[in-house]
Amino acid sequence: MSWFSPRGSGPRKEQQGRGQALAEPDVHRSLALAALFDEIRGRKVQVLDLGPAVGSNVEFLSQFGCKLYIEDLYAALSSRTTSGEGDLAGPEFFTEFLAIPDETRFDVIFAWDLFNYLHRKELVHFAAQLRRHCDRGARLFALMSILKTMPAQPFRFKIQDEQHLIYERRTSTERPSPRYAPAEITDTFKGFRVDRSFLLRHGIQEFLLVKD
Amino acid sequence: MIEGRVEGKVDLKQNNVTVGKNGKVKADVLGRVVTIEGEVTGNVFAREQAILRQAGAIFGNIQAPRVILEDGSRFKGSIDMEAPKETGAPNRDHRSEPSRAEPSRAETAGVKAGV
Repeated sequence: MSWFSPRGSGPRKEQQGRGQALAEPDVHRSLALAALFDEIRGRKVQVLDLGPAVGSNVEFLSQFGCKLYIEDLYAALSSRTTSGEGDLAGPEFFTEFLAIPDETRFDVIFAWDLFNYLHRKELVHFAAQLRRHCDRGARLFALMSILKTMPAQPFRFKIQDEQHLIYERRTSTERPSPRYAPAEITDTFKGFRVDRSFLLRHGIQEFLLVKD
Repeated sequence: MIEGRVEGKVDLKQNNVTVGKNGKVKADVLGRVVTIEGEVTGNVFAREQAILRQAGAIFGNIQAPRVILEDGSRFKGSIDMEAPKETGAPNRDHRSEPSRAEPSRAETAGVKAGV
């Protein structure tokens, strides 16, 4: 496990003022992403992308010959909220959300920054659901905010190359960040261990979890 | 080009298929180059390329050697970038409606092969 803030991980563009117009997307170096691609190179893997469908990511991942599942968690959570079925998503929600055959196994899960938008209880339910579809060695990529506030909606992430992610804000408004501690992540994702972790200068901690 | 509602199966493996903006298809769609501008609930199998346009939506799986998803498009399912087998027999998945009606039934518009 690595705990450091590497130089060169800052944004390439100056960040614009928040709370106004949407800022131009920032490009950040991603050390965990680089490590992840090193791991899967040359393998045909099954990938679960929990973000929205992003064409450039599909195109980028195609070079790895992977089978890609796209399940937009935030969109599903948003539609659930508006349907007024209660405050927190329970295990049934996550079972229905990830309604895939039991035998489906993922080698890589891109959770992006979505865990920041789940309550602790929801995280526990979702982790249980994900565990069912991961064998030993499966990797989970997550970005946790360590700042007091974060965008009110998850970023849209685009893979620029194996070491860089484009962060596209979807809203200029902010909301409090849960600031989950690393120990909370490992407690929640029992069965996974932190393989790599990088604290980046723009207030994001990258996690690469691996299933034991 | 498919406009309007279609249920069943669209099997045009040798031809290009486009589901237009007004197209609403509940079926597996097989074609050479398959372009979706409307909505498809079912699996898409393209021998060469599958294209999901900005206004389009696919709720099902895509199997094609090359896949283009335009930003803003809606997609829920899996993408397998291997060429579909020549038989065109799709792998069944829970997401897609089973193709019951064959030949295809076009309710509001004709279905014709692209070139």
